[in-house]
Amino acid sequence: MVFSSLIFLYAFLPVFLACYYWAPPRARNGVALLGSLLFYGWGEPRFAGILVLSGLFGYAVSRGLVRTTRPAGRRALVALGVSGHLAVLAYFKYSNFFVDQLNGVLGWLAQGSVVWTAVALPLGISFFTFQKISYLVDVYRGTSPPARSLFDYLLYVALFPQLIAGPIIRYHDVAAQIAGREHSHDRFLSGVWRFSLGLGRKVLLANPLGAVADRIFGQDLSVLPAPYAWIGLLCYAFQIYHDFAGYSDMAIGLGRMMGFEFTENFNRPYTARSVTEFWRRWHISLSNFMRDYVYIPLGGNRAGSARTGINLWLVFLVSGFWHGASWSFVFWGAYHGTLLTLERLIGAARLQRLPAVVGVAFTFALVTVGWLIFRTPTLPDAVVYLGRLTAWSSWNEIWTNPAMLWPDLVSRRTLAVLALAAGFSFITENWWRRHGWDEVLPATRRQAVLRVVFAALCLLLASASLAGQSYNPFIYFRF
Amino acid sequence: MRRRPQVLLAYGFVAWLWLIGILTFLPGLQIGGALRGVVEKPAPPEWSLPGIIDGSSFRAADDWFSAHVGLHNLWVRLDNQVSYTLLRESPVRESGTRVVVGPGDWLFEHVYITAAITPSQLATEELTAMADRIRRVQDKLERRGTRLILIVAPSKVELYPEHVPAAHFAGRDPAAIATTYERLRPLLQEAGVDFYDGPARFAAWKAAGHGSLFARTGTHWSYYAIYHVLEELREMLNPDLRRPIPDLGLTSLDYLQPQRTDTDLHRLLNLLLPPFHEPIQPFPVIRAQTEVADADLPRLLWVNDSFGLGLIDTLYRARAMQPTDCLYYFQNIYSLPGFTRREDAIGELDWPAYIGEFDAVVVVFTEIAVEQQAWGFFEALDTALD
Repeated sequence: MVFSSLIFLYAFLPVFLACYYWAPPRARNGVALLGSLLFYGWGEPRFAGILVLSGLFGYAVSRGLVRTTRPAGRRALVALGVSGHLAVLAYFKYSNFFVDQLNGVLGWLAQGSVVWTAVALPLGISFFTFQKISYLVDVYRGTSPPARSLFDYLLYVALFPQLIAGPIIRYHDVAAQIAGREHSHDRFLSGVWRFSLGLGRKVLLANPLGAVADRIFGQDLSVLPAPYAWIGLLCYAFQIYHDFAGYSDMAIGLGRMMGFEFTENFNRPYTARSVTEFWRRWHISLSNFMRDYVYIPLGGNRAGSARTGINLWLVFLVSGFWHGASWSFVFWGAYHGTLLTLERLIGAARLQRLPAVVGVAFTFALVTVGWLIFRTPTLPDAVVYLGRLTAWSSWNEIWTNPAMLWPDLVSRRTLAVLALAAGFSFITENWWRRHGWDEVLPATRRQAVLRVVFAALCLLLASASLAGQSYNPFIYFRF
Repeated sequence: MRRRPQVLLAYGFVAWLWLIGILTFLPGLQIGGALRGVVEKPAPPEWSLPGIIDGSSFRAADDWFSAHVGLHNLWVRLDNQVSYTLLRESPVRESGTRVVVGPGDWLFEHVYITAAITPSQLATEELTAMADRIRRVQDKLERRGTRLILIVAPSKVELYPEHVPAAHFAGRDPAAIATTYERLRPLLQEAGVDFYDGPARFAAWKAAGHGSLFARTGTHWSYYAIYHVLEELREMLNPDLRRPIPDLGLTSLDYLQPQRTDTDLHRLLNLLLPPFHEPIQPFPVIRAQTEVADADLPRLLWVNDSFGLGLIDTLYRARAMQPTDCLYYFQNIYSLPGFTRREDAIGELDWPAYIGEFDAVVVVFTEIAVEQQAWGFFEALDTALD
């Protein structure tokens, strides 16, 4: 199930909230866990089994860590736990990719091929695997207390607001909240506001932009006219941001409705003035994970600039591969690793001296080229697409292919949404702060009213858009 | 914010979710009016163990819920209204008929615009073979005493390109593009096919100052135009019919708001607010004739797309043909009048015997559908009547 579906909004959520708040406070964690398993099992129930079984494994290892005092034994246990989680991730997420690569090599050597049944990918496995790894490592390091019970641990892993697409939550951030949390009307309303905002971003901005990007990236890229190439790339850049950040907003909002406070995952990344700053603002929970569990163990920036550069590069390779089992993601990671290494060489202070508009525009351009690598199936496709961005003579090609007319591919609604999404993305942090939109609770009565109006508008228009997508009428029947 | 409004808002939010959820299961309480257009509604989910294990039951439940969610029709209308009011557009859907809004609220079906600016790709040999096949079928039917008439209906876009938003033509001029029908026309004439050239006739009427050939809000020819088409059809068919089509009995022209199929595109917009201004247009008032007995009325077999429905409707209003069959899109058999679907399949028809029941076969399709070759009707008859 996904948050941006009518069945979630108008069936799962009301029933869940009613059960949650009707239950006595002691039983609310139980309702949350049951609801989370139902949420996850909806559509692919067998994957809920994988979630629970791998959770049992992680919990057993963590109990072992608590009981073992010998350092070697603890090291062996944490290595076992992390490897076990990574093995599950490798099987479900990467085995198809590796078998494809192997078959490619075997084919090249004329040695036949490995017979393999493709493995289906459980939803959100990348997120909950990293969450479980963070828990084990934190318990090993002593930065997190071990979960009080298996029940608490499963709730931490499976809590539905953050289960599918993060944020990747650290156990010590929510341990106290699992044990006991405040439920209040103002927090609940703050959650409704944040959820509605996220729903609006996902359904009203990201979905229409994604539909256009899909159509444009689905064309024959070698003859793609430049205007479409630009529109497609911009649509994708804003789609991926509002899709992901919108989902995080919804997760944070749903968490607040249940009394949880999750860490922020996005902080206006497109206003960053360098790629380094971008990564402090984009998918913050993943960046933190990579910093704490990969970059610092590799030596971080303590072993000279060359080693730091290599470490950064490795971290982004891993990060890229985490995003998906394809060379495109690896190249995307390498691209960002290279940019960060270069920025380190140039010096962050120098970049900050650039005029803000130049810094933001330049960073946005670099990040957007990265999205091109991320979105196209292969690196050569990305290079071809990049070439089409500057193929100005290709305007004429629009006239020769009526299936690609502007209004068909890019409606006024798309252009309006693109402008809205861009405007929303580039609002500065100062503006948000000055007007108090960053606060959990509204600071003034005026803002409280504005939040209610804006949330209602997002909820209504998103519902209308979702229902509209389900109604594609033909003028007359011809069945 | 003070506590009381907070409590009200929090409960209001949850109550709202519940209300919509409950309304989903109470279809009788749907508000927003029935939506126009044809959709295939998802079936209710079947909860079976295999379905639950492989997830298909859940996916079916998702689809069913989305299509039946409380206030569904109101939501759809709201979404459409936002697009229409703010952007003068109908939302681009995954499938279905897409409506393009032109200046002055002239509405067009998108598929006609694409067709008007897409040059024909068929080889001349294929077009010649198409014309020859129709001629063969015409001859075979004639030998059995049944007249064939092919009616090619005009495209609103080809007739009124000046009302299509210019951006949709992307700098192309429909008049300068040879469509498949425009290439087929001389070949049909050369082959001696008896056909009604709707596009040419409508262009001539437009040039002669006839207005209201299409309503702004419809995709089909207007009732006014239909009357004139039928008059010309009578002239073409009657000399060869054992039982001619009687006089259509036009008594007057009423000037009314667009009605019935003249508003089909407007209705398909499914807006929330009342309709925009629609100029009045002439409607022929037809008197059902009583002079000719039922048995002496012609029996016509219809093979048609939706352009044929107006012709059929007008003929029955005039009581000008016998109850008959309609092979709609050559997919299913419908009994006329009433348009009731019959159980027997087209593929099981005994063509030589079946065709003999009719005085004439009337094939109607739009000029943009020429390449579909009457959905296989001519091929089927060409083979069956050997």
